[in-house]
Amino acid sequence: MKTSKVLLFLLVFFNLPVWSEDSLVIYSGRHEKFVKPVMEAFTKQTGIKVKLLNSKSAALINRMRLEGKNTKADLFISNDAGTLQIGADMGLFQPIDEEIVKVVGPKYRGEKNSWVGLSGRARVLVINTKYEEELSFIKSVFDLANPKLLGKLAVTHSANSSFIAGITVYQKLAGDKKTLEFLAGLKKNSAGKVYNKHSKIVEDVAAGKKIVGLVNHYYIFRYLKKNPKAPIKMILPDQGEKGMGIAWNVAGIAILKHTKKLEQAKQLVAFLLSEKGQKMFSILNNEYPVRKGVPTAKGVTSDYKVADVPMSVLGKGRNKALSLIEKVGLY
Amino acid sequence: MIDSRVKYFANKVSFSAVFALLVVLFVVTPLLLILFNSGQLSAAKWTNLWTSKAPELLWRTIKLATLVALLTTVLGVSTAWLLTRYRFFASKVLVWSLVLPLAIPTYVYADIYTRLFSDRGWFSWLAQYWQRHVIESSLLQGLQSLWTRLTGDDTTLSEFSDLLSVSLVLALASFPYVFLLVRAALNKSTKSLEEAARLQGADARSVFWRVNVPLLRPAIAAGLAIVVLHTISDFGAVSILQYHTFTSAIYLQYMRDSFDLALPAALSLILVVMALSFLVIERFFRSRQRYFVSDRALEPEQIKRLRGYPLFFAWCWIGLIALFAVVAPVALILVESFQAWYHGDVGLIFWRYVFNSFFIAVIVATVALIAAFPVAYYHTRRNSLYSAALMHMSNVGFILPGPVVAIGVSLLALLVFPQFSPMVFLLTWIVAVAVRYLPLASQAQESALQQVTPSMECAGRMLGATAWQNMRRVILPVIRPGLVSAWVLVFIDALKELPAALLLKPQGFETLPVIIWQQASEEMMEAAAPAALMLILATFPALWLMMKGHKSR
Repeated sequence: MKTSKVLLFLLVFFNLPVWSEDSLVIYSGRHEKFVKPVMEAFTKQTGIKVKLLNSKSAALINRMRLEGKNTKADLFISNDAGTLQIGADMGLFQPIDEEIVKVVGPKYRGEKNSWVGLSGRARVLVINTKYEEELSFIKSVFDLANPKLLGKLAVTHSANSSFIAGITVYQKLAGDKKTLEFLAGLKKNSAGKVYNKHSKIVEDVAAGKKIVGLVNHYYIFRYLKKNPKAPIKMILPDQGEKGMGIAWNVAGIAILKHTKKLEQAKQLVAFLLSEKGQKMFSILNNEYPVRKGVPTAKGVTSDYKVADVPMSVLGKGRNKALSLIEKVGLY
Repeated sequence: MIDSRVKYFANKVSFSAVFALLVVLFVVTPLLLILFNSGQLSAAKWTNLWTSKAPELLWRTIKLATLVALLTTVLGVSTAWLLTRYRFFASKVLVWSLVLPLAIPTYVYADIYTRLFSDRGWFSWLAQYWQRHVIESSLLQGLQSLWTRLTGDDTTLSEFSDLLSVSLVLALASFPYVFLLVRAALNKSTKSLEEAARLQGADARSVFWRVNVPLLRPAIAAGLAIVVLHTISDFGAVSILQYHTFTSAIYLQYMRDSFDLALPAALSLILVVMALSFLVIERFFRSRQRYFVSDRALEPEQIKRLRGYPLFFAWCWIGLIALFAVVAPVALILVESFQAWYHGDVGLIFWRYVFNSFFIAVIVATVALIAAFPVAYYHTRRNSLYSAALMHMSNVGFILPGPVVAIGVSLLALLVFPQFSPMVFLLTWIVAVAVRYLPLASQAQESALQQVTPSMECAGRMLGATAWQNMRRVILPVIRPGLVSAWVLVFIDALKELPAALLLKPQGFETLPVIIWQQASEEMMEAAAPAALMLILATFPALWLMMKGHKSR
């Protein structure tokens, strides 16, 4: 009996701080490094404490669904609009006031403002500059399926939410048949090796182990910041008049339906959408601010054609994209 | 008298029979739920799975398992041979250092190896050499074409090179299983058989192939069975090294479709069938093999001393293996742990992870020990077909890779709890890990219980002890060493468990394996090296138990 009490005490002692009652709890699928400083600024400005719990977005959605109204979460941050929209379709979130989110274009919000985007990310190509000549035929992302790239292409595994979001956009704009061919080509060219992380793709392209990779844009900037002389370069596919444009995705935030701290939660969203919040949230990771008029980080351009697909479609079209991925049998 | 004795045992057995049945039912339910859920998958999707992903993943897994088996045989047999047949300076230290990899979880190996061979790693020069010279060399191309001709597997050169490097890492991590078993067999086989063969005029080579190899075959086979099962169910290492096998693909599928469990369940089912058929085949071959070894150990004068070049090469070979399997990984962990400690990264939060890990492992070990007891007890007392069936079914965790167990148990939890709280996650997680390692507990307890004869129990009862007193004062004291080692074995494995922790741990309840995993999949986590160090240190008691068992046998 006594031992069990001691154990209980220890458990409480070690884990109580996680559940202190007075702070906002955020389930976050975004890397802690890019969220924590912003939250600290928020706490400094408003005095509202914030507790972050980090995991993968999909796992968190599942968890919130299982927890139902027992959930401790007040807000949910994800790096993927698709995941946010799925949570919204499950009825996990509540609409955010138009007043707060109107600074963001409707394209970057969920249906009925069930969530709102915070920062944009683009699906681009990274190439090793030694092979620039050889790769000059790549004008579109679909050229990655070209047999010339056998064993030279680096892509993430298909459980990566950015990967799925990209495929969703391509499917919407180019149709099933072309997307299937594209996926089959990706599978062949990646020659049995799929990457866990975009950062590893950039690393391997820089080292010349692969010569071209499909990544989110900021991974390239992050790597170049650490290794300014690395022989890598960003390529923007699908430009020009007939090009479909670059697939975008947004990281965003939603307020839980069962939150008991609605006012504070709204305050946080408003802070993240303010100029100051936008600058911090996006610039920390070289992403694009969604609030108009806020400049991007130095050296990061957003001056290109973006695929014309509203972000909520990334959730609505996700199953379709997954069924194509499954048909080709990507893992 | 006799009558009441029989009646007494019948009662007691039926009591434990009920508990044994309950435990087994509970353990098997997750598997049944997986079966049921994969039944939800439409026929079209099954067909699609069969034509695209499944055969490919099967083939990748089999390729990897085969190569790892080959490499472990080479590493394990050669080192065991050298260390039993020849006298070496500090041979005890050598033996220990070759067993040490068992203390290092494979995902730690994978993580360490990616860093050792990364651009800034200690072996970056070797990686660059490989990249520049070996990968285009005729040696590798020759190997690849040989591989293609043997297996019909049409790989690109870079894919083949990836396969080789992953197999090497896994082989370095698991060759001690083969080493230990072969070493034990060699220690027991006297040289009289060899000498007889030599007297009949056989030369050294034919003695090796016609006397030694057949004698060692059972030991090698037993070692390889463990290695292959570990490779098939390995999750962490193959994920970190980005060579996806069936097990890691199930995890990916679960992460991707976490809103729909039919596909992961279907994949799990295929994997279970695969592991089962491997076990059946292995049993079949093993049942036809007999050990013909004497109990006498090698006479000291039979252990020769090597001289000159052979000695040099033997040292190089063992040294090379020890360097890559033990010295470099452990050195890296120590250096990084020291740096982390020096920079003040080993703070309260780190000790909380340590506490969390130990907390879970203690609970899991205790739960598994208690749950396994009725099954083992019933089987040793009854020893019928039915009790053996129960025993086998309780071993279901043995063939189920971690992600599969986790998915199965969470399906069960979903049936029971409409809404999850952190406590429910904790419970589900504990049950999943306990189910996974139940076989360790039940097997260890079974062998311990065999030492308690029914007459010992009868004696206790005749002297007036109640059933409970008998249990406490006769049975438990006798089997205590067995219980302790069972508990330690489960504790160690629960401490290192990764996939169920990733899928089921409550938010914010990080454990050491999870920290290491995050380090490998995200950017730097400062506490990863000390975490690995803690895991290795905690595994030492189990290793010691195992070595002691080998010695006394």
